[in-house]
Amino acid sequence: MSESNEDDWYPLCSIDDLAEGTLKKFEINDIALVAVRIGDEHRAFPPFCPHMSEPLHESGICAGAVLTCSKHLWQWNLLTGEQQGPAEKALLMYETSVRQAQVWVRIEKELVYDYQEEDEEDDFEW
Amino acid sequence: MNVTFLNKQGRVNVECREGETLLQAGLRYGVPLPYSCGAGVCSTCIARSKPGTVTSMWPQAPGAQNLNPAKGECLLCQCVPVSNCEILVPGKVVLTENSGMSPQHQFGQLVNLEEIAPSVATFELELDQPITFLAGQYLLLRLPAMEGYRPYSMTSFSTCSQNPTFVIKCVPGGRFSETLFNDKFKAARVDVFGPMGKATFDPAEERDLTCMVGGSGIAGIMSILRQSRDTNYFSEHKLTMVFGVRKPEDFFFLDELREIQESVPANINIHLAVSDSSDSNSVPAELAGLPIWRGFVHEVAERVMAKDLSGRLGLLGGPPAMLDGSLRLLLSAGVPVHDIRYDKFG
Repeated sequence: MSESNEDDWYPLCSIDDLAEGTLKKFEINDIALVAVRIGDEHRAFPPFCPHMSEPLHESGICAGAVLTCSKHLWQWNLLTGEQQGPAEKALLMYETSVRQAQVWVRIEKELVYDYQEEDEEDDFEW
Repeated sequence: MNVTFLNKQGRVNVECREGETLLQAGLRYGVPLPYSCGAGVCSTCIARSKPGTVTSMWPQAPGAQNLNPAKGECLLCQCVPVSNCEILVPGKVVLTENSGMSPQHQFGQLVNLEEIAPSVATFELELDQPITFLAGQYLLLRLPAMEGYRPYSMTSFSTCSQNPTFVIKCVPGGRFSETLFNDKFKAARVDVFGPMGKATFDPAEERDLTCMVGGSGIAGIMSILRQSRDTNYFSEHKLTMVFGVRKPEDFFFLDELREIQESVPANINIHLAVSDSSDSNSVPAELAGLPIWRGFVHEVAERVMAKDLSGRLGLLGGPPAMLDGSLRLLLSAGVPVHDIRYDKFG
C-alpha cells in the first residue's frame, strides 16, 4: 500500500466477491466504480468507457487481462490501464490493495475522463 | 451548404445537398468519417457542431439519447446543416485521406416481396442506376415521409448490380418493415444511399471463416457466402457457421445453406441453433440436412466451433444480444478485434 492518507482507503468487497474476469459495479460515497479480478490481481476504475462513456459493467468484455468495450471495440490492458488496438485513451485506475481477504480501494477523488479535450482545437472556438 | 469537417489531423470541405445528412455528404466525397449503422442507432458518428448550425431529422433516434447538447454533440447520420458550418470530428481519423468508397444517392423500387418465414420476407430493389458493392455491405433505404433511413444488407452479390436482394424482419413498431408488410406486395419507391458498411469480406483475403448470425442478420453473410460459392472459395478455405432463430419454423434460406454445405463438405460446417426452449419436443435433430442445436448462437458456437475460432476471420450479424455474446466468445478465444467484423444495426 502506498504512503497515501489512510483516510482515502475504503473497503470494497471480499476477494471472493470478485469473479475472475467479471466486471462488478460498486458505489462508495456516491462515487461509482467497476472492479475486476485478474488472477491474483484486483483492479478498480471508473464505470464509463473513456471513448463515449458507455457503462463498462455492461459493455465491457474481459478476456484474460484485456478489457474490450463492445460498443466500438476499444481495448485496454487491465493490469496497467494502457490502451490497445483502436483505443485512443488509457483507462484511469484507482489504486487497490488486499488486506485480510478484503479488497480495498484508494479514492482520493473521483476519476473522470476529459471528454471535452477536443475543445483544445486551436481553430475551433465555442 | 458548405460543410467543413475538422479535427487536430486536418480539415476538409464538402458541399452538402438539400436534405442530405452530414454523414452522407462526407462519405459521398470519400471523407473517412466514423460510422457503423448510418441510421441513428449506434452513435459511432457522434461529432460536434456550433449552436444553431445543424438540425436533426430524427431527434428521438436511439443513438441521440446520450448526446450532450451543451457540447454541441450531434449524430452525423441524422443531422442536416441549416447554414454553412464547421463540424468537429473526434478521434484520430485523418479526414484528408480518401476512404476509397463513394456511396451515392439514387432512387429505387421495392418489388417482389415474398414472405419466407413468419414475419420474415425477401424483397428486391430495382435501382435506377447499377451499383458496385462489396459482399457484406448495406444500403440505406427511406420510404417517403419517413424521418430517417434504415440500413438493409444485400443478400445477393454481383460486382455490378441493378437488382440487389434483401431480407427483412417485420419489427413491431418499425415503420419501414411494418409499412412493407402491411402494404404486402405493393411496390414502393424509396430513397437509396449507399453502398455502406465495413463488415465486408474479399476472397482475396485468403482467410478461413467463422460466421455467427441470428435471424435476418444473416443478410450480409449470405452475400459473402454466395460470392464465396461462386468463386469456389471454400475448396481451399474453411467455413464454420452457426445460424440461429427462436423456433425451428423461423428458419429460412436452409435449402441454399445445405447446398453450400454439400458443395465442399470437408471444409464447410453449418449448424443451426434455436433459442426458444419452451417446447423441448418440437426441435428435430436436423432440418434440411443441417444439424440443429438448442441454445443461443454464441452458446452453440462455443459447443461446435470452439477449436475453429483461433486464426480465423469472425463475421457476425444479428441483434445486439447475439452480437455481444458472440463478441465475448471470440474475444475470450483470443481473436483480435481486427479479425472481427460486424455492423451494429441494433
